[in-house]
Amino acid sequence: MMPRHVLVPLMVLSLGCAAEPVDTSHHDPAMIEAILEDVRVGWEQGDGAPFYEHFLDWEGARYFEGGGENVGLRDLVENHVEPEAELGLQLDFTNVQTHFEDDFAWAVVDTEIRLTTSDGRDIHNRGHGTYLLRWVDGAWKVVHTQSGSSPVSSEGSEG
Amino acid sequence: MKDSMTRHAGLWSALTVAALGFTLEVSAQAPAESEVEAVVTAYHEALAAGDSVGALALLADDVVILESGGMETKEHYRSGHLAGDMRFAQAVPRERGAMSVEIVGDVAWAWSTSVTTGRMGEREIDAQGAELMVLARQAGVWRIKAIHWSSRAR
Repeated sequence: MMPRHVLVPLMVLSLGCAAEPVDTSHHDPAMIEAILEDVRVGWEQGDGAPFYEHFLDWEGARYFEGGGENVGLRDLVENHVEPEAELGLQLDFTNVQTHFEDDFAWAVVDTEIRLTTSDGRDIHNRGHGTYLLRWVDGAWKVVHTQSGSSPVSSEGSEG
Repeated sequence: MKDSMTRHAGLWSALTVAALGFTLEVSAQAPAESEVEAVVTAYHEALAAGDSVGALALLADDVVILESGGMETKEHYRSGHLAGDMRFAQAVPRERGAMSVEIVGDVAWAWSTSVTTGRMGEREIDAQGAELMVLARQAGVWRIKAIHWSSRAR
């Protein structure tokens, strides 16, 4: 029989461990989907506001499309989002799938893109996007993105 | 009395070992980036070696793989793109840039860019690509939970 002066602290210790509640209330796909919708509209309208609101502008942030990358949030907005919207970008996100691991989440989406380049070429691509998010100060923040697409008419897409 | 002391000594030894184990686990966080990078590298080495079993062993059961085509589960990948990816990795040299790894608790993401040049059948390949992998650690073991490959012609 274990003495009480040993047993009690052990019980308290084990209770302390067992009683640690795991809060998963933020594991809500609707929260992620709402962010992606804001970002989608931001892409179409060339509006940086949703990006500055939902992206964590951390040192080392990278946003990849195809094989290219934007370094940092400002680079993404000024050199990618704004110029692409001027080409009449239409962007669709479908089949959003969200995954949660503690304070981390990622979402994968099917993408469809239409625009007309400045030299008059019509672009119609399909592909995928991956968004990684962290739960920071009570909100999901995008920390990394990757997307890729290829012409709808061609085989061997590069999504 | 002596018996009680012996038992207490055993108990405190066990607690000390447990505490030590915890300390070791915490200090083992430091090379976690290296562990993640090793898993990603091992995955590519398995593809290049045509080792499908080795490659699949590094994937979590619920992995999602995005590359050409649709989103693939592990089962779809096993019977679909895996064989093509191994053929491609064996046929076309890939020069990878530095890998970056970020870790949040038991989740990590690793990304890198690469340049792929060579010939695959009749096709000349000269592309730059980006790779993103999400990994999760369970029982101390990192497994790949998501892969996204994208590329474009150079």
